[in-house]
Amino acid sequence: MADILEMTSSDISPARDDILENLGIPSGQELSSTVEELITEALGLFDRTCSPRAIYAPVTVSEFSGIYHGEGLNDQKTPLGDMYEQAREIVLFALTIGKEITEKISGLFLDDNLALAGVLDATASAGAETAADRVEAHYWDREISAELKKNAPDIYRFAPGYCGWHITGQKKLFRFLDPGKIGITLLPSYMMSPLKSLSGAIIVTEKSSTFGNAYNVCKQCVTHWCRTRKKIFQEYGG
Amino acid sequence: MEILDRISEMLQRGDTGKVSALVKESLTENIPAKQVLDGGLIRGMQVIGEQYRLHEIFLPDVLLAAKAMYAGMDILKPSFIKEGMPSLGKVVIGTVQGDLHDIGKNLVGIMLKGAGFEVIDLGNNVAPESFVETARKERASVIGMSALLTTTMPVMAQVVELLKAQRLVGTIKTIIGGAPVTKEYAQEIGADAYSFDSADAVETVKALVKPA
Ligand code: B1M
Repeated sequence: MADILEMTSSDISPARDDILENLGIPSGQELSSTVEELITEALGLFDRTCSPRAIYAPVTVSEFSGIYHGEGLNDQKTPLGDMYEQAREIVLFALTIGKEITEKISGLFLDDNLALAGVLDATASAGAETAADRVEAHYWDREISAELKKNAPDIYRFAPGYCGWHITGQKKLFRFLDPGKIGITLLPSYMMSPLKSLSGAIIVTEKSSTFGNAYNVCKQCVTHWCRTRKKIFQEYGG
Repeated sequence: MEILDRISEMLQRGDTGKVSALVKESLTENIPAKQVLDGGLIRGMQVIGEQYRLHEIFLPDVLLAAKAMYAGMDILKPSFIKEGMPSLGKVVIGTVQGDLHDIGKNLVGIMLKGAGFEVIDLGNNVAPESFVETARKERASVIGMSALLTTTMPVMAQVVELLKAQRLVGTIKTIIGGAPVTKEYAQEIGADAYSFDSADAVETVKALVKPA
């Protein structure tokens, strides 16, 4: 059974550093007052134009196996592929921050309000990621038993299109979860509309992994977000 | 000329108001519009492009400067009514069919305009036929395609194939880019060029339109 999580824009207001990162600005960089004003304006617009919603559903290992293998195009060896069979909980999710914000960004570009459009785009992308963090935290708070929490399990998030899970995996994920209920459609190219949407699987496992560089996808990865996110979650959420 | 230096400088600061005022002033001083465009606006954007390439400034600074450039160009436009706005060439750009991402494509378009190209932006989710038809009708010299998903990259190959079928290869050049796109992919599908970012795209398109 899938649940719908309604969020508010303030629930998913992105961190300043995440916005800057999306703009290619190193954290700690001093900014001109004009750019500071743009960020403030973009955050205000974000607040008024996004309408974040998520849909999520726990799945069994065997259900997930079918979904994960998707169209048979995954990398041969992936962190998710090696992990999910031992998972204590697997949750599929999809979320969107709505179509109004994407339309607003396009409108600003068309009106030649270029800088605000660029900063709002970066804010919206960071907001979508924050919404995924929120879904993860919500699931942890509401659905994980006290007993499992006591064992301090790890929690990971994977998405089709990342970490060796092929983007065509979207097809089976959508068939199972039906994100149409929250207004997300999947195009034949596997792209979701509205643009600022995300999908994936949350894995709760007692079998810790740092992945090292045992996987080709990890060797090629430049962000290693999974590792940082895990650390942050342990410090604040877990 | 001092006023052109000031236009370039104000553009680099992203000061739309001052750029507009100075462009108007230069026209009342009877400075030819083409000179204002090249020596003020485009020169300022060139500096911005170079600073961005060297990571001395960041995306919002580039976009602020581009906005100032557009404002200046709007004031100059009526002066070019007869012969049309001078340009380095026409480029048709778009994000390929099935793909809705467009920020990267927008940035490439902005930088190309800033460098003095005429840009026809078809938006996102653009069908191969639409790229080719528009480029043919508009007599564009370059088609620029952007894709952010591996699943939509094959549309780029379809555009190249259509150009081949219509014997337009060589007349209309192609450049491709976007996160999953590589130089090797461009070679594999027979595109004329690949570019990894918007500043590089400007240099690459300039090279594409340069007479052999
Ligand atoms: C004509 O000539 C040219 C020349 C140069 C050209 C050019 C044309 N076009 C572009 N360029 C170049 O110049 C531009 C300016 O310098 C550059 O343009 P870009 O568009 O690349 O750059 C932009 C200015 C900024 N860059 C971006 O906005 C994209 C950055 C990355 C990190 C990214 C982001 C931010 C997002 N995403 Co996602 N996202 C990624 C991206 C990874 C990456 N490192 O690029 C990518 C594109 N995403 C990916 C995926 C998988 C996904 N994302 C998703 C979601 C998201 C967010 C919503 C969180 C967010 C917003 C996306 C958006 N564009 O609005 C999902 C899809 C969303 C959807 N609607 O379907 C989802 C499917 C994940 C999921 N399961 O939910 C990957 C695609 C992989 C694939 N197989 O195709 C991805 C490459 C990440 C990865 N795995 O490395 C250059 O590429």
